Amino acid sequence: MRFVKAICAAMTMSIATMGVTLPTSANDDGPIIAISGPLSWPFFAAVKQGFDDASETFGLDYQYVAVTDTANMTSDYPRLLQQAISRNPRMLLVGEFFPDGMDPLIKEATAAGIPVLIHNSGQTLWEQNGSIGFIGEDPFQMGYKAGEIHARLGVKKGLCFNQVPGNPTVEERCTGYVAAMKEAGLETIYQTIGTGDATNPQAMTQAIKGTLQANNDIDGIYTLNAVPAMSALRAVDEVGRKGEVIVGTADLSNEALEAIKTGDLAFAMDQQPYLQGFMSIQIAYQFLNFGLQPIGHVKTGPLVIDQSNVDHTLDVNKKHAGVRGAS
Amino acid sequence: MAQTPIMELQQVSKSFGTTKALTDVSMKVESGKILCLLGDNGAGKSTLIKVLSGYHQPTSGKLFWQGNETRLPNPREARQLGIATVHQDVGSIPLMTVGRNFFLGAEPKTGIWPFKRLDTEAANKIALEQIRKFGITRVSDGNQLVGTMSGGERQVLAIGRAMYFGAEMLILDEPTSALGVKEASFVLKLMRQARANGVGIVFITHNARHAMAVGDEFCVLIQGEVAAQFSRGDKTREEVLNLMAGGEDMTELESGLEDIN
Amino acid sequence: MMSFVRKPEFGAIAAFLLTYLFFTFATSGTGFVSVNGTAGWLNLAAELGIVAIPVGLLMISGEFDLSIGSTVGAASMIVALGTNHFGVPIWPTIALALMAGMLIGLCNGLAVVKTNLPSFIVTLATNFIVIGATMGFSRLIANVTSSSIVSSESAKLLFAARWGQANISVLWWGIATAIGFWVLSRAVFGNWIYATGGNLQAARSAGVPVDRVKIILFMATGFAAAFVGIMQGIQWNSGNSTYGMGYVFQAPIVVVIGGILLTGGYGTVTGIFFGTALFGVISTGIFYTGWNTDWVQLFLGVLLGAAVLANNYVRRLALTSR
Repeated sequence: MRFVKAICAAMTMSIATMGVTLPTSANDDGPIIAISGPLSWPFFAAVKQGFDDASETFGLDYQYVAVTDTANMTSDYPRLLQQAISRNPRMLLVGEFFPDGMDPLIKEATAAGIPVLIHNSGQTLWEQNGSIGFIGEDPFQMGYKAGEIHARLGVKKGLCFNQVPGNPTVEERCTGYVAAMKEAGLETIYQTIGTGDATNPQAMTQAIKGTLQANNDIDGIYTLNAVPAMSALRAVDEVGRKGEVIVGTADLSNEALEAIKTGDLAFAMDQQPYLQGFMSIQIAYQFLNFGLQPIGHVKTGPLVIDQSNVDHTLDVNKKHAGVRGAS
Repeated sequence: MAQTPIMELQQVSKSFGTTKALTDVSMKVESGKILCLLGDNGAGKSTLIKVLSGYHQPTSGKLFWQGNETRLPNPREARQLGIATVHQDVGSIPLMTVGRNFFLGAEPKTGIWPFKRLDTEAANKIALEQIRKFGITRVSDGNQLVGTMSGGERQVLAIGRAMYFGAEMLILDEPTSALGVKEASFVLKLMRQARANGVGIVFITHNARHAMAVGDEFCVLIQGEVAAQFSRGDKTREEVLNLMAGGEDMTELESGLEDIN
Repeated sequence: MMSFVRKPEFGAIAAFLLTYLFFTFATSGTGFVSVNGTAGWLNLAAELGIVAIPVGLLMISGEFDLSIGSTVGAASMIVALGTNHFGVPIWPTIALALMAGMLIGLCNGLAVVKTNLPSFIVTLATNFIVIGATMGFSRLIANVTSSSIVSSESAKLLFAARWGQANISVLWWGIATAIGFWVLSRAVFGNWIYATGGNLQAARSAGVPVDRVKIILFMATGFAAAFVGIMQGIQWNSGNSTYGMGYVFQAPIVVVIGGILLTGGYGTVTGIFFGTALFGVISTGIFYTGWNTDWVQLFLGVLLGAAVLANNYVRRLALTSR
């Protein structure tokens, strides 16, 4: 009996491995699978809405795959990609968040004839791994632009606040920020908080307040999300330096937009996640049906929202919740 | 002078599915007397205790409390009648104070509604008085944790608590089994005191020496049936041991043990 | 003096004083010890503290609640969706959110007493159920997982008022502590909590309604979690499904630092209070020192270990005969 079980186990294992490693050709009946970010992040909720709207507009069905628990993304995402490849898809729409694990798999897929379109992350890699294109803006580039803006606005010592340390995609934004500031010959401080406090706005406020008190030459803060942005504003207020510290953030929320309107928040950067989703499906449709595709990388961001264009953005946010990433 | 037994069982049987734990058990517990319930492990003693304390209901047979036929649907009803059970683990809570443990489930209150609070002072004072009354002198503060007391002291606390709350019948499940000689004699002394106060005591034990030391009546259970019932003085210790072990095997076992030694 | 040392809260109080003293020196000149600095860590401690008190009582009774995190987020989303998406005035949504918290607690409690499964597992399952439901329904109803809250003056007064830089949450923490203290050490119910955790069978035999005790405590943790979610939502004008995820482990941590035994039956509310205060001081103070903030977690972990060892010693002292 044990012998039979062992044989069965061995057969199952070999079939499973074959399913992943044997080259499969592009399957005209296969599903279109989008591997993108966790839906608990408003950013990716907007990406998905883009996917969904385009799917309806073009009549192209697809499946959205993502992790739900963000604790293990570095290993979970390559696994998800592997599973998607083994399902013989018609096309893959991938956010290459973790290139070390995911890039080899993308190369395998494209070598086997599966068309791959990258969005959100993987800007520097898509040309080498056989993908047909890239939509979006690398987090590194986002952070870099923020650094450029801060430098332009006269910040001498900037604080980049990362509320989710250990998350490589988010960390990239700070890495970019620090790089840009460094190139301009300016100082930066990189701050994180304990993982338990990633969703605690009070904890973020106190943390930033402490850092401001310990370094009272900080005159710029860049946050990676709208929630820490509001915390940063409160912290600046509490240490009595309102108006002296230039605060900007990645991503949006209604509160953040209101703060831009009143002038408290200098800018918010919209990666326009909706476009990443929408245009991925659009390009997929046109590629699969007509063989057409954009040449080169399609940029969706960052759209810098400051006092000059905030009113319109607020309007849209109120009318179409979820399109800009947070409400 | 025949007095009504405080509790009487008539032909009580208890089955669990197809297993018969007790078969036609008849016995009497009398106030001011100690009934020793003897039997080896698996004889049915724990099932019998559970029937006496209302935890289980008999499958057949009758129960009489103070001469009246009754049913004990749950332990709480039994407690309210005045049947107190002290289990093997003594039901003490080591990390709780003596006062609080003593009054658990019957806490004294003080103050006005809705701010009625636990009267820790009264609880500590009374608890201390009671256990002093039963001979424990080592405990000096009602705020002491029960964990600071020895096994024997905890037994006394449990028994004293039962008596304080008006137990008329006390079921003691192996109270001396985990105690050393000195502490055991302490507890036996307390049992005599309780008896003198008119409480009817069911003393479950597998230690014949302890049973012979305090017992007035004896009931031996073997495999769920009453194998023997007798009064003090009717049988010798060896006869009792033999009965408990189910026959002559005991003497063989004992001599076998001595050979090993 | 010795009798004070034997008390379960001694470790937490001593640790708090020592740590605060430490940070006074390590952060000198940066304003940590100022009124505003103190308001800062009190604000942080208060939010955790309100949840930690019922969680601590529950742990004394022998059970865990790992679902408080998701309840906090769910409550904030109920208020957010109610006011922002459905246009309902805020007070009914607050009432709804509080009831939802108690309902979650009731389900936890019933599941634990009826199935006799470890509460660790049961509430872990609830945690996933609640957060999944929160995100799923939010997206279904309004296509978002976080949303603005449209508040009212009275709601802002009760949940978001400030004196200087101190939030009203500090006042609520004080109230929660007072209630918890009174229930645990003065009320008869408190004796039942200790008994249920100390020796369940003995408590039951003594007539303590242990099932009812546990269910009530689970409902209390659910209520407190919902309360904090509502408070956070109104303070930041925004509901978020992920508020409160950190409390799942932070609450038991401060409870254990406060002298409560993981196995139940021992501990005081004073201890929980000082354990929470200690946590607030460390979490906030470390940023004033200017040190690399990655060490925060290391510091907390070491402290937790030290606290458990110290509390063990204190408990052994208490159990030795006089």
